[in-house]
Amino acid sequence: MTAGAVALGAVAALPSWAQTAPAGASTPARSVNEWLNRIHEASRQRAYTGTLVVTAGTTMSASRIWHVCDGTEQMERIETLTGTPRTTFRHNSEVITFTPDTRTAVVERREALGLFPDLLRTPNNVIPQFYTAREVGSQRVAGHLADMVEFQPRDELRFGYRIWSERQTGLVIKLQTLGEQGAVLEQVAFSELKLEAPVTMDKLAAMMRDTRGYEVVRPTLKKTTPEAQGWRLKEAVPGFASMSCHVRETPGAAAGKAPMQWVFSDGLASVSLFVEAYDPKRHTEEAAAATGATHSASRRVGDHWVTAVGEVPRATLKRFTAALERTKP
Amino acid sequence: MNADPTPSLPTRDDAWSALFDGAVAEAEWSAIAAGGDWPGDTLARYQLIGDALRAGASAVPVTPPGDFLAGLQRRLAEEPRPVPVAVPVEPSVVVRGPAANDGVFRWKLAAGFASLAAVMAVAWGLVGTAPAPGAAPVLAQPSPAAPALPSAQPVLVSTPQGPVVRDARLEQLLADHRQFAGQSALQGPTGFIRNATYDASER
Repeated sequence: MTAGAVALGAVAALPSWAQTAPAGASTPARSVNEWLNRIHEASRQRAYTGTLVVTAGTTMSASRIWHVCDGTEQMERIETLTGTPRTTFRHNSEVITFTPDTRTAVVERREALGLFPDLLRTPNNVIPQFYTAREVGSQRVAGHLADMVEFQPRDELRFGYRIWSERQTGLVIKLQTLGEQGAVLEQVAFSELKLEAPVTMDKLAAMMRDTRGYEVVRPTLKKTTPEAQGWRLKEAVPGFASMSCHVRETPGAAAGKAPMQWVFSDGLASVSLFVEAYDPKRHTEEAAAATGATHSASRRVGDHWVTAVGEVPRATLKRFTAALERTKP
Repeated sequence: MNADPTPSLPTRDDAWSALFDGAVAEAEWSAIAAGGDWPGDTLARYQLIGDALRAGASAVPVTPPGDFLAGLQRRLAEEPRPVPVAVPVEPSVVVRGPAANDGVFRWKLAAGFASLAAVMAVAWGLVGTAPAPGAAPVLAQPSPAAPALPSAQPVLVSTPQGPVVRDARLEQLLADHRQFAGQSALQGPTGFIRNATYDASER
């Protein structure tokens, strides 16, 4: 057994110091929705700073995080500590990413970031149909005691998750994506976390506004519908609903031929279908790849090439690509 | 320090300096901005100072690298070319006039910068986007400024498991997918910071 597999095994298994909360103890077990609400509220109401480490396959990335909230306003600053230097600011749904090496500042609007707390309360919320919550004990992470809860999938079309939720606030301080037999595909964890850190929104806002010396880029994404682009899924993949669809306008691309991205989600995992014109020079094989929990699968559909990408098993991606159907000539 | 027409504010230069340190509140900023002519040179100087203090030796210059290289090459072309001279090893210390030493040292610095800039320009041309030379030989970095799907060139990447071939186009799709992967209840709070942290070039 390699050292890596031993480490993963140690991480995946419950260590000896984990205390299992007896059933019916101080608080009754929460449902999936209750856990998700708790997680979201924690992020909306708490200020913190910390160091985040993302482990995906053989990759390890780390960043410093500053997070503040002020009633309904949220601000974040994420500064990468590994790889390409990059600083990302978020103010609610507005995101700006500074890359010092290229002196570019990319400005985007991520509407999806505002969706979910409300979506959890709607009748369309199908998450409990496809996942169950199981509380599995508690553990200290980055100096904070956390409740461990597993969201287990009810079928094989999606992955499970193990979440460490800080005991007092509910903040997610560690999150693992689990594959077959509980294998850890990816992990996001704070190695250091300071709650209620004295970060002010004004200071972060001033830094976010300061784009002097940077070329500000606003990628042109045109919102559209799959129907307008001439596509449909002849068979829905259980649990996954269409969330959004857009085309990425690129200079030099023929009108109407811009690549399309169609995003699906089951509430916890998301899948993107990228559809572009088939090019025999570039699209030479039906490729499949994986990095951490993210898999991809490609297929030719008539005069088009579709690549499905998502944090789901490859078999699920193949169902998507097999179900994609052209409705226009 | 400039004379301050508004006694309640700090001097203008102090206020601008505080702004670049992120220590100026909204109200003060409005007062500064409304208060008169734009001290462009001062701002550029304070930004450079701030960058240098925060980034130390790796401070990135304000001018784009291409412009810097072009300007440097222009200035080098205008200077007389130095004749390489074999400098004999002196066993004893010889005191020379400061003017002659300064000239040689300045040239060595200029030559050093020119070779560094030339290496960066070549690396830039190869890569197309960002990374600095001397980093791991990663050539595929999804660039947010280039939304077009890059061609499916296989790219050699160093990993702890040895060289691995990656698909530059697939890397771009992965980056585009992560941009929208916030559309899930779990990925919303955690997924956003996860995606902002994750760096594909680290494979």
